[in-house]
Amino acid sequence: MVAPLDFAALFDTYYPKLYGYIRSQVTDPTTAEDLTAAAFERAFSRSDSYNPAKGSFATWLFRIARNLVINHYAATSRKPVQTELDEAAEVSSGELSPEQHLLHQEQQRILRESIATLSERDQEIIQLKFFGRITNREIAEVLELNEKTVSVIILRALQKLKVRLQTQEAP
Amino acid sequence: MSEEQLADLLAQHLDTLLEGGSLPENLPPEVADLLNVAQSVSLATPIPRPEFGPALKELLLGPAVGSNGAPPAGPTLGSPMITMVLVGLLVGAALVAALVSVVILGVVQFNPNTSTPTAMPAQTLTTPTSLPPTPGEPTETVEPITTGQAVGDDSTPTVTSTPVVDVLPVITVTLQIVIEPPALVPGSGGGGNGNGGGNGGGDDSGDHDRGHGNDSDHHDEDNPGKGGGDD
Repeated sequence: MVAPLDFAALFDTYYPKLYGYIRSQVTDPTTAEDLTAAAFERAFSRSDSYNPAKGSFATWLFRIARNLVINHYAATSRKPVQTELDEAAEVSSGELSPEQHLLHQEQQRILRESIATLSERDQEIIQLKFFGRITNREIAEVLELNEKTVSVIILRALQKLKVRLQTQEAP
Repeated sequence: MSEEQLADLLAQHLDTLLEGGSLPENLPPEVADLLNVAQSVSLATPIPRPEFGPALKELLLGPAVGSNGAPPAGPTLGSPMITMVLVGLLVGAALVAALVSVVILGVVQFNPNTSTPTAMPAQTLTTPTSLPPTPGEPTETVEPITTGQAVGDDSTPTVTSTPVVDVLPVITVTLQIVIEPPALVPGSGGGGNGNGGGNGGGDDSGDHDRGHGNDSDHHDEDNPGKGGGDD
């Protein structure tokens, strides 16, 4: 028998992560909020169908969210270009001075352009990893890949980004 | 170090980095460099509006969520269905109760227990105001429409029979039925003593022939203008 889920604790844990992932997939924050709410609502209303033996709650939740994003674009018949997505994403720069803020924005621009050079699958893995903040095993379960494959893809993606950042920053 | 080993080592520390944990200092330089890049990427994480999270939580879980996080209602699979079934049963029971009440009231009003004019014995009625109750009928006057029995009550209605005429406006009915013994000798003919009001005259030839032109006066009561009769 599956133990009852602690909905409040799960929400607190995964809400910012889920929003970060979904927001990186869509063009505007309103759509991101709608899809985030829909994902949680669906997960909570169908909690009886969640089976811990088949994967973690994060896997189940992000799979729901991914399907919602796919359906969203299927309905609109349009998938935005990755650079367009990244440029629309809000980025928290914390308490920075004006110069630091400009530098931060420039770094983020270079980073977005670098991520855009990756394949769609690699981009999604990076977004799940760095915006969704889920483990490699959970990413593998969501995307139905091997965990080793996910680890290698992340390694190669970071290596590409490192080279690109070094190239962009070089005078 | 092979690519797979490097990937495994990176994976071990990347989760710690993203969760805000501290990293060991003796990491291989290649891993350290990649973790620095990962740190830069993580800074690009989209941040939701501050008010969105609490609002969504309250919408999903309700304003009063216990420490266990159990939602007060809603996200539990099956509860909306159970609620709908219960509402349907209550509505159905109410409809059945209303229907039974209507049927009972209808039975009470038209039940033979109530006095009706057809139950009146054939007699001369001279009461100018109201009809006397039939023998055996209860004489108390009760409310014309009283409460019926509750649904499921098998006892006979306590509404004692109320003559229907009691609830109607007072209608004065005077009915005189004069029954006279036959006065004519069969075959005597002649203008009988038919004084209208019913059957005029009669003879021993049979009451069913009276007034139909077959009796001695040849007066057809049913067809007065049809010849015959010399009244």
